[in-house]
Amino acid sequence: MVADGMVTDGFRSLFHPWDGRGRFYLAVGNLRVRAVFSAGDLLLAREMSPDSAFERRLEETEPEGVAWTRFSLKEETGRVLLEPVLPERPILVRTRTPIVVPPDTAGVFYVSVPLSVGISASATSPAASTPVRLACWLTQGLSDSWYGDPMMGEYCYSLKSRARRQLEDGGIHRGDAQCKVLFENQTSESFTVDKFCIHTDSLGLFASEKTFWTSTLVLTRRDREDDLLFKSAPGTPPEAGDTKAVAPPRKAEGQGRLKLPFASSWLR
Amino acid sequence: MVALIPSFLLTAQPGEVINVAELAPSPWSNLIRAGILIAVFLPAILILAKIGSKVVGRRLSGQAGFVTGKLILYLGTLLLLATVMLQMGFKITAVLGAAGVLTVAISFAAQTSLSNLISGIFILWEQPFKVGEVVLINDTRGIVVSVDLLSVKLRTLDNLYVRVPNETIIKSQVTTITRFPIRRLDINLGVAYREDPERVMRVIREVAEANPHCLDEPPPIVLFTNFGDSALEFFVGLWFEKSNFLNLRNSFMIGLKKRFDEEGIEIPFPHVTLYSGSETKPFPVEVTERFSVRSGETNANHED
Repeated sequence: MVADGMVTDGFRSLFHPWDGRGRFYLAVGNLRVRAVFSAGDLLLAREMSPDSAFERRLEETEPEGVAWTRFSLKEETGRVLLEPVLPERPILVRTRTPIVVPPDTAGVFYVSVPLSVGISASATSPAASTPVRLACWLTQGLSDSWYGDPMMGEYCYSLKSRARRQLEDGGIHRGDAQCKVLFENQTSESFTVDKFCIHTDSLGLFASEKTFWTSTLVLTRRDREDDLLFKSAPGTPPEAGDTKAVAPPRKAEGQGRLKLPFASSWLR
Repeated sequence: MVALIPSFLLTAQPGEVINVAELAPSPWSNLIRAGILIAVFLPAILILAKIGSKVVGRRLSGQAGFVTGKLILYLGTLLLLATVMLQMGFKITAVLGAAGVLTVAISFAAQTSLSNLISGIFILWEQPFKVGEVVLINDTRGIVVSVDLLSVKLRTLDNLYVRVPNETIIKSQVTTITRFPIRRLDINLGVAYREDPERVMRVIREVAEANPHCLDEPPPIVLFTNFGDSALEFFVGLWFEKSNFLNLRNSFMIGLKKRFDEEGIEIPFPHVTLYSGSETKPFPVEVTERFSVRSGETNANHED
């Protein structure tokens, strides 16, 4: 169990539930979370502070300027689970430079997807009902973005970091999950990739010794089709090494259609 | 329908050859036939109206389904009424003739309502907007509460109830503000002539990129549009998810003003000179005493 007043760094300690005694603090990426039980209610607060301002106020039970959210829980609630989850919206990713994928070729990219912290409450008994999700907070501040044309598209997050061609290029940060994206060009023409969208609800989450991984995402362009077919391959890529499953995909069917990037050009 | 009536309801002797056309059914048999007609066909009309309402409601909209159901019900009831009257022995040709004349008279009297009715059918078919969307009809901006046969009801943003005749909607330009999921906020602003336009555009872009409600795709538009009379004029276009309009407008304007102040970028404004009349010169303003707001002391006190 996580101890009273413990400051946890990173997601590693989140695999142990908190029994609700005392206070709980979490620091992952830029996200700082405080949790405390008060009069039977669970109080949660979050701050996005990349500096040590959060740590300096640890001794205060309810410091000023912190926006608390109070959750009224059932009497038998005895555990609070904090777990890493993928963001609830799709992620818009840009490449560092546009890449041209020739016919019958596949291009590989690696994307660092910032994780969110999912906070759930459940009864003490393991045989009790499914934990109830109370909150889900990003560990990094991501901008809002749009993938598609102004009439029809998807509301998504915009990733600050770029898709890279090598896994080690750009570093692996705590609070991120590495996603391998495979572009397959099954057409008779080359096409250019400069931005694409990752549907996080179709990806599973896994943990290795060094970092988190998602399922491999395969984007396929076929002849006479105006969009991309995306599919989530089960498991993780070989470069992830030994991993254990953390969370299954939120959507059972791991495939769908993705509009072509509206600003991309097509070489003929 | 009359042919379905069982023969035992007609008065006749066993073995007698009957010419049905020559028989005069009794008043009671007419009533019974009419009753059977109503008992059989009225529920059928109700069921048909419900089915029609559901089918159309699924394909078009709930409102269109409601109207379709009502139309089937009214038309079916009218037909049933005419059949029952025929069965009761009424000569409806005369009634129909009178109804024809009455229809012409009513049409002249109710042409506006008829126009609204027909316009309403076209609106339901074309669906320029749906219930819950924000629309601008002439100068009225509001949320669509209901789309009815004769009119559309709006609730304005300051909570007024507005009824707009369908004929007006068909004839006017209607803007559905929330039809698409994202919108663009357009802002025109001016800065002093002494400012560097490239620097100003860079600052505006940075403020837009830092705003959490401003989408980074499509990217913000910053244009240097004109050498105005008093200022260098710029156009800023910021894309946002349609529910974030107020949040973006407030936060961007405040953020831009703060950043302009930090960068020392001046926003010019007109100055007013006061004249007491056309023949006099402007009032001169002369500082005779400096007053310190903080201490309440004047320069005169200091010198003493």
